[in-house]
Amino acid sequence: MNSKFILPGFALMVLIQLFVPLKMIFDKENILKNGVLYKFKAAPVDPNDPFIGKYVALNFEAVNYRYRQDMTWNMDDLAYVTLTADSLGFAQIHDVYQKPPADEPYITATVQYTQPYENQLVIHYPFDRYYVEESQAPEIEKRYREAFQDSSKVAYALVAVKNGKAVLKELVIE
Amino acid sequence: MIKDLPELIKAGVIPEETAERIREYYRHKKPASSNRLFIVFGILGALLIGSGIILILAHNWDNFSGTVKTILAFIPLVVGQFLCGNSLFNPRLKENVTWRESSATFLFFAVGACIAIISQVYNISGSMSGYLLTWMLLCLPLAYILPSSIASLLYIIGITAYGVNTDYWTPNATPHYLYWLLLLLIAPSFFRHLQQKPGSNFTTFHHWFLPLSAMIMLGSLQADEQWKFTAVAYAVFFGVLYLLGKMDYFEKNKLSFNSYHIFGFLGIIGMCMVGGYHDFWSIETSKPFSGDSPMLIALVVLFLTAAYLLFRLRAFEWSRLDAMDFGCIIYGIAAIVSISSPVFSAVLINLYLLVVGVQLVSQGAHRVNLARLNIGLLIIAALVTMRFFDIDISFALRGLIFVMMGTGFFMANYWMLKNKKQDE
Repeated sequence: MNSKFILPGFALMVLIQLFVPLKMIFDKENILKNGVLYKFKAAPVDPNDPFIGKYVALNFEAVNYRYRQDMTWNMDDLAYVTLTADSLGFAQIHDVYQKPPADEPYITATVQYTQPYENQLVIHYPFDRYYVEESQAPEIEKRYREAFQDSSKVAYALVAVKNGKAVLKELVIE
Repeated sequence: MIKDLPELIKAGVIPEETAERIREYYRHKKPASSNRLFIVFGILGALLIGSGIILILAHNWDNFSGTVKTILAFIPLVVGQFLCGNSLFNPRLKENVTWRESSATFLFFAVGACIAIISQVYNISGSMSGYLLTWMLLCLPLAYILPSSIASLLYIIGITAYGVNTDYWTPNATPHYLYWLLLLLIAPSFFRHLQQKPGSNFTTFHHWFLPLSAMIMLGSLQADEQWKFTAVAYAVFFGVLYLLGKMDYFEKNKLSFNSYHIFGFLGIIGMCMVGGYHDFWSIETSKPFSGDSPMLIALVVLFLTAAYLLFRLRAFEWSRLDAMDFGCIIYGIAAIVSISSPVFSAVLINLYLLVVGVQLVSQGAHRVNLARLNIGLLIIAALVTMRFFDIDISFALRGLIFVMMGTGFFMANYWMLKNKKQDE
């Protein structure tokens, strides 16, 4: 490389390498601080192993949506999901749009699969894993399973939402 | 060589003063092998230090707050950038290859670790493809600015992993062609290696990594069931590699340097071994031919490249041709003919393999080259063995034919060695 470009090139490379992870952090912190908080009630996962590596694979109850007959949805389509809260304060799907809605908070998700004969689709949320430290994994796994077997317990994810983006704040098992 | 000098002086091959000048030269020559060893150990050391730091942090990870985790994620990155800056601008380290390659390796993995740790701290799901793409693009400048050969090689590995993850492992995905653009981005680094360090080990590694990466990703261009195009594309791809390996630049160097020749040869033989079965050509596809298939475009590009290389080799001097040069053409003809007669295609491929085997045996015998002779015999033997599974003959007859083949091997090698000894 021409020597007069080395210093500016190196400086630019350093700045970009620092900028990208910092931007990731800034975006997520912005959502956590200024986003709307929703509680997503967790649904049971594969009973054999909810853990893949060092994270809990999450599944949620609020994933089904019956769409209008004039709409067409395909697997892996982007879906813009608006939410409402049920009587217990857990998030439910209010509406699913094919373009971002202008006037209400929404999450950018994807269509996991569709059931065209029933005009139903299943949503896949972008917050489907919760990272845990390996030594704590067995205890959390036990409590996570117990939450589905014991009706007095509940597991849910606290998610902050802003401008279509979502950040998983915490996994609560109580 | 030093050890042979007394024998050469005694035999009158070189005078005493020439021998002394040779001893003097080697006494002052910089030991290249010990430099290479330092570079290798330097790179290994950087990898181990980086891995060790990550493991120590991982052990205590859960005790740290989110802010501390974030800061810790950046420390290897900043340290790696400092080390690379040092190797670039410190006059004492500027020409130090070990320092440059080690710091580039450390920074390469520090970038990946930083993004991964941030993703974990903020529970960002993301996709493996997105992660790999970001990581590789952030580290691509290392191959040009430092410039680091290891970063260039790691980049090739990384984009191959990205391509495999995006195009092979994602079910029902539409083909992405970004991998080919990413491969083009490293091309100037590769050409710089060819021009400035043609004989170096790093350049040799590039000669191996690049065709291997392209070979892995070529199949991803198949968007539907047109697998015959894929088969022909691979045959032409290997033909192109074989012709590249015949260019003067590669033929002058040792075989381990000439990955194109090895890949091309093994690839064409492998494709022909598979194409020798008529079942291979008779399987029907359920989807009709699509004129805008990306594999068809790749096929056209590869054919034009093969034609250009043949022209460059001035292969119209027939003496420079051998049967292997025609592998891709034969395969293409077989694919076209298979539409009406799959059996004829299989026979054509088998005849072609027989010609290749016989030619290699003949060349081996003429040039007194045992390797060439034995490879030719192996090809003929493999061809005969594979046809055994196609035809219904008794075990006794099969055993007899195997005995004859084995005897043929021994006799050919014995005769060659005997002639070689007589010539000496």
